[in-house]
Amino acid sequence: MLNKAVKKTDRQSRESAQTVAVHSIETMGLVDGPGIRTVFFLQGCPLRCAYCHNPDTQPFEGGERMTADDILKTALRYKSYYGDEGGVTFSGGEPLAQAKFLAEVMPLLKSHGINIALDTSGYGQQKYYEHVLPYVDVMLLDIKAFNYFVFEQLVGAEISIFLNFLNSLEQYGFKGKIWLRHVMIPGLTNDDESMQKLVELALPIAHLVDRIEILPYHTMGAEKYRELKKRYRLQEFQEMDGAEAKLYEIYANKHFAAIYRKYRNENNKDNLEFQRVLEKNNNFLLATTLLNLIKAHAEIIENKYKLEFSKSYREILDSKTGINKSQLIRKIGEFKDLGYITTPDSHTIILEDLTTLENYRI
Amino acid sequence: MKTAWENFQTGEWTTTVNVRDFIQKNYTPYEGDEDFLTEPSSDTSFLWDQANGLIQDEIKTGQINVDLEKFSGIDNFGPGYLDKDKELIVGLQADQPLKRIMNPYGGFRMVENSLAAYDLEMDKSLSESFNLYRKSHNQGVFDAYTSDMRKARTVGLLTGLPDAYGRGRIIGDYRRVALYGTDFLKEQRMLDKAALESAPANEENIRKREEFSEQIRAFDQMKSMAAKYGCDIGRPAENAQEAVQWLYFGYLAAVKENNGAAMSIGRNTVFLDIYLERDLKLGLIDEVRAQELIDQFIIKLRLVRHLRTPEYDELFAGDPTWVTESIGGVGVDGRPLVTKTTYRFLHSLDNIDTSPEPNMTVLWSEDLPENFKNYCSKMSIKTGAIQYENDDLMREIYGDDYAIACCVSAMTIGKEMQFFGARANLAKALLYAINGGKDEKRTEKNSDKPLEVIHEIAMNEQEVLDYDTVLADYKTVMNKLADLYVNTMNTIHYMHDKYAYEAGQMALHDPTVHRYMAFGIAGISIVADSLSAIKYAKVKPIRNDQGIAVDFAIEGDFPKFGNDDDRVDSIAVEITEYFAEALKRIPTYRNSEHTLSLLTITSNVVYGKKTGTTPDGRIAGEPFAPGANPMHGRDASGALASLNSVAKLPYCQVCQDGISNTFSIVPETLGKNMDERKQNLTGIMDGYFNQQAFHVNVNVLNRELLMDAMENPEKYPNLTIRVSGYAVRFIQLSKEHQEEVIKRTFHSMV
Repeated sequence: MLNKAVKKTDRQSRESAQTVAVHSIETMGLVDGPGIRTVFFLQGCPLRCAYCHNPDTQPFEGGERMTADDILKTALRYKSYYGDEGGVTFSGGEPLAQAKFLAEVMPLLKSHGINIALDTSGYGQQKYYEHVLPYVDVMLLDIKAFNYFVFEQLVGAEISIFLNFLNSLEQYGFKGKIWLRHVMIPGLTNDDESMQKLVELALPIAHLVDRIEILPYHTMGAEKYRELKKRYRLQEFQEMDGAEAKLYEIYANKHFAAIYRKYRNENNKDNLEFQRVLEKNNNFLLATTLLNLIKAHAEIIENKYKLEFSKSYREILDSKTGINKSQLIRKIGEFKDLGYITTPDSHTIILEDLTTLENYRI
Repeated sequence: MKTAWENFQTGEWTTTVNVRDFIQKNYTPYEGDEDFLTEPSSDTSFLWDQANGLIQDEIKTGQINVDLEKFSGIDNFGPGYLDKDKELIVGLQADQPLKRIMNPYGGFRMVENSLAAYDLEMDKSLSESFNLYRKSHNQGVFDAYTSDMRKARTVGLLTGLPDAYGRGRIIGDYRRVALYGTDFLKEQRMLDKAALESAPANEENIRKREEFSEQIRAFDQMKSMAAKYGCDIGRPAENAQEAVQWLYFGYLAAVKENNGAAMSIGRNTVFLDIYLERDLKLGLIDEVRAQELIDQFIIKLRLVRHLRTPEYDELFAGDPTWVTESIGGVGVDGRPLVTKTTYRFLHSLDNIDTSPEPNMTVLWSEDLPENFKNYCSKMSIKTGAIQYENDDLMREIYGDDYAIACCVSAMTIGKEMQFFGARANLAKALLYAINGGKDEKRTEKNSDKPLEVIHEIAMNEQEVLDYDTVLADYKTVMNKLADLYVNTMNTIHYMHDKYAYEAGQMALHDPTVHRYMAFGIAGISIVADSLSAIKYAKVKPIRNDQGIAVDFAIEGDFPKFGNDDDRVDSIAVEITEYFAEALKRIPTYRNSEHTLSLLTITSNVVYGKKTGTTPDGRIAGEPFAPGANPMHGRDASGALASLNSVAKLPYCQVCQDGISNTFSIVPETLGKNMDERKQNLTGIMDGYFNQQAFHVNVNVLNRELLMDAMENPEKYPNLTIRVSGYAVRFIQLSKEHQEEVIKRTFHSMV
């Protein structure tokens, strides 16, 4: 349901302005980009992913029309929750299918200091990308599959368009962070090889990657297909076990760090521009800071470095990493989650996976 | 007083009773994190195992223990222990743990019914002499009720009125016992009484003199009660253990004397921290002992019980006592009222299991230290036992030494009290506006004529309900209801003062207190949605032979409360403000100040049962949403839209007795890992309270977990969830309540 309060805008200005069809709004998005986010699900998607859990967002018809101004007004109602890294997420559907509209609304949101995330598969109105992507702070980039055949079967589109998108991001002026996401389907992509391919695909944009998320496929979408009287093509597949998906997520992240280290040594060693981008990447910043702290603060206990501080490690890292506070907390949580570090108390960090941390050394 | 006050900075508090001044001059704010906290001592764990065993046994067997030989009173019971050698903090209501007290002064029948439900009977001589020589509050009220008051009560238009048991919602300043000792306090009250020597003997002064005399006697009783445990509370506490103990004796006196629904304890962690810090500095105790004192204090608070009927327990979901402790907040000088003992108090949820009592209430301010905010978020995620209320709003009104009574009722400690008044069912009142003031469910005795409760209301005969007509009639109903409600409350509290006066608690107040009369509304979201349906969709009443609308056909869609949609949210605000104004026009007993709450406790289920189908499409019997919550499943734009809608309901001057909102979220939805979840929850609270919102209960749990707990209660003896303004053990909820909680909007996204 839409926020009706903002729909009372003057009819005349509405008629002249561009509008977009919004399927729904989630006002408390906490997992679609960093922080607390207002998620606008735009109506319409050119793809027909077999596992799509929101098939009702696929058709370009329907939804409620909103202007850029309506979107802004809604977002401002939630600004007090955004903190220093939350904001608006455009999801769908495929939001880039409405890139012309995004090119109007994003500068408007930015002028009010609102952080913008884009949840995309990379299929849309290409000619507007250069007016959209420079405004995106975080891109939730969905990698559906890793080879031509599976991709086309699962998505109903050619993988080349996606690869082209991925490779051209910086040309379009994208300067944000990337969260790579993959929905893991048991029997299809739950194997090491798939994870390796995922990492390989991501290498050209690896310096922008902030996290890799493996989302377990679930069958909750099936009910919606029944309601819409559509055939659900994935009937033969089971739900993906969450714990197993987590293991693959950890594997993918560690593998990514390892492969990427090799890749950058080979390709970009002396590229200063590249180095500058890397120095803004939180994975590299945090890992490098932790490694630098070894000298002054570590003792070796059971073959692991244990960093002990007189203040809380958050305060120490806050002053040393140069990462903004909220992002830092998030990144520490992620490093713990992926098993790179543990924190027995608020003054102590144990470096559990020195190899991966080293791989992230700037 | 020399040893007792050594090393304390002196001030106004040294010559006159002024606990706030003592706190401000002596406390040490703590902005660090939780790392200093320690595990429970082995004695603590042992005692909690004992206590918890007794609690679980009572739940399992459904049998309770009651002292059948005596009536309630501060000094009527011998000492009792869990394990005398291991207890640092002693004192039980009766001579055994969980033994309940008979309090006949609120209502004799209530005691008899409660006992009968458990196949118990009081000592014959007690019942005979009480009935022969005494009269209860309940009898007084019914002697003075009008027929309309009785009717409003019977049909469930006014419910939960404190006319058959203690009213509660009074917080004695129990800290005074520790800081000054009862001797000094008694002397002061004698001076207060002496000051009235030459005052004319009008009703007010006569009552004052009588009350002071009762309070003076209460001090003697407190002292004698504590002496039975070997403690001399006549003098001030001299160390941390005594401070906790003396304070607890003050509270214990209150729960020996009274059985009020909510017997809240105040705001004590900063006060106690001063004593703990002093002993820590002197090397008299270490951190383990400091935590031990707090943990053992809390064990005692978890053992407080009152004798209730099973129906009462069903209504309130378990056996709540609302031992509300207000935690945190910020002082008027900007220093956070957060100390290490504030952490220790919350830490008990880790040390001795999560538990609904004491009712942990964090006073949230934007300016609280970030470490503390994140610690609270963490404990909420781990235990689901904490509620949050907006300190930045309340501080403006009550200063920085207020506390919450019950769920959401703020009052300055020792200076203010309230006359508790339950709530009016405004959803039913809306039906009265359509049905000519007649009840949609009840008929006149021995007839099929609908029972008329509110008089001289026109019967609506429209085929399609017209908004302006319904609203005008509704306002007439609200005005008449307000008149009836205030006068009912006046009757109740007149009789309560007369027959069941809380001498012990009022002794721990200033001689002159400010009184609130706390009214309440139930069903605000139904009212808003119903009026919205009438305004924006087409609502056709379906009437029975008597012309009563028993169902409604709704054509078209309409905006619903909980989606941050001003078209309907403004209706909720308008009705609330209108009813508040209507109440304020009717004079109150003892010139108390009218306040209003949007709080249902768990009676939203019972209100639902008693209310017919409403124009929003809610069918007869279906539970109301709790407190100010949007109706189940109608907040379709996510949780923050829902919070924003509730945040629009005005606190200051309107719903100044609190606006309750319960918020449940699935852990996975809150963030990917604990660090993210903590940060996000803190962000949600900052954002919500930043918009002048008043209260939120936070539950972080899975629907599946609750369903499993329904099937396998033995696996979840202490699973705690927050309901409207307090917490309960999930397994103690009735099946209906459990289903209602599970049905309630869980904020999760696919």
